[in-house]
Amino acid sequence: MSASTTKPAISTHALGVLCALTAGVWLGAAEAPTKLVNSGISPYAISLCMVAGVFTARWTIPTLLKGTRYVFADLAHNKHLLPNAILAGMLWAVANTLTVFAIRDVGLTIAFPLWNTNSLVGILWGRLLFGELKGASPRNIAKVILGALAIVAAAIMLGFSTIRGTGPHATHAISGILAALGASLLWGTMYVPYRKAYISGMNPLSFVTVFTIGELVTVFALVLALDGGTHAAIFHSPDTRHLLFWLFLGGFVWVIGDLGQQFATKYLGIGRAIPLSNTNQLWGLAWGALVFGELAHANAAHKLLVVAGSVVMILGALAVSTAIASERENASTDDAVQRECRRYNLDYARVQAIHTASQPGNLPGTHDSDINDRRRWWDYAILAAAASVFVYLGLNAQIPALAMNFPWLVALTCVLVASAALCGRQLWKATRFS
Amino acid sequence: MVTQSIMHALTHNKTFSQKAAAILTDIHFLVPLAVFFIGLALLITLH
Repeated sequence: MSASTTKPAISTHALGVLCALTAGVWLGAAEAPTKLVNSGISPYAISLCMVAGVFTARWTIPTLLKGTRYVFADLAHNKHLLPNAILAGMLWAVANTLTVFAIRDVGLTIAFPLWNTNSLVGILWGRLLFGELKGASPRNIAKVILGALAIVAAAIMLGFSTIRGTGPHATHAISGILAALGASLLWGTMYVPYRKAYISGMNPLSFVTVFTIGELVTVFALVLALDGGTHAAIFHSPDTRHLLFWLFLGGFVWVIGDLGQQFATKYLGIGRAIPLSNTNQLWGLAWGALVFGELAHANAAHKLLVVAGSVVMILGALAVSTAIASERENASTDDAVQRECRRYNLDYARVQAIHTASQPGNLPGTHDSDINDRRRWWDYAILAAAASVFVYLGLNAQIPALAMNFPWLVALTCVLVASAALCGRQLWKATRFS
Repeated sequence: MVTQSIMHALTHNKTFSQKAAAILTDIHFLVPLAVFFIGLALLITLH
């Protein structure tokens, strides 16, 4: 395959920042549909339904971005990365369940800030395992670390502004704190497989395909092991059917956000991608406050906290997003790419070209008009089948009696669509979603 | 020596078990795996 490269229309840094911020918009919105579920079903069951939605949604719009032939050829070409993708899904599932314990034992007030430190875990792994920030200027290092810290601090402020009635938790404080720190460790470490896949030239859509399988199987196993086995209410309760649509919708929104996060990790590295996509807290708050009126009875101090938290988060995101990697830092990243190529006998020219978005990531021995861009009839059949699941669940869904501000609902939905359209357009122009 | 034989297995010989051994000894796999088991142990303890 030719290794000739062309200069992309947008820098990889700008592309990564755009993907990370889009991920924040979508991951924040993913919480919105779950707010409509207030049935008393267990958190394990909610998690399982949402992950089932993520798995189904992966076969909707993402199938159109790259056809199944490309994805499966890419997976076959990168077989050595399949265990990493499954492991990433397993890490997500266990971390998500740990948050349930953390909230139960210490409440969101304490638990949320603790697991939101996953960005700091990510910076540590990025430095130790992939040489991120190695050779970076002191100014850039300060921007990334202080920016990440600012985003953590802002998330705490925004969390405090929406949390009320945490209840007595003192008796299980240590176990709750351990659970929250465990979730932080797992969610920060989850990016190691992400980054490994992308410095090896794997396509994020291929990675997400396997990731969702690891996620689904692990969540299912956790329901069986910890939530009543085959007698779990999720498998028998007739009420569940009416709620599935909202959880699946949450899963759909989440998977789009996660794809943004994957592309961000690919083009920015772990240390920059996690803090930027953690701006989802800002968007989650926007949905809660503007659409669901969660701050309707907030006092002046609460509102001040929201404004201050939002400003700090934006400043933190600005700091991280303007920390453009220098030549020396890029050379360190290139060392990591070369290591992968040596270890797994990969085509360095191809991997490097994909990693820098300087040419579409065609698979070896193929051409654009072959499996890289063409969709086959079964792609559309898969898309139709997955969409049918959503339509079927939608027909059986009950619209909860929950007050919503429709103008804001429309406005935030427009922001969602616009962010995805802008990010998708730039990704298509620069990389063809490779 | 071990590293050299793993590298050789990946780039030359490539039997399944050798490839698997190379993947399973990769630090990028071992670190997340260790963290996963720490998380799972924590989860089982807390349940």
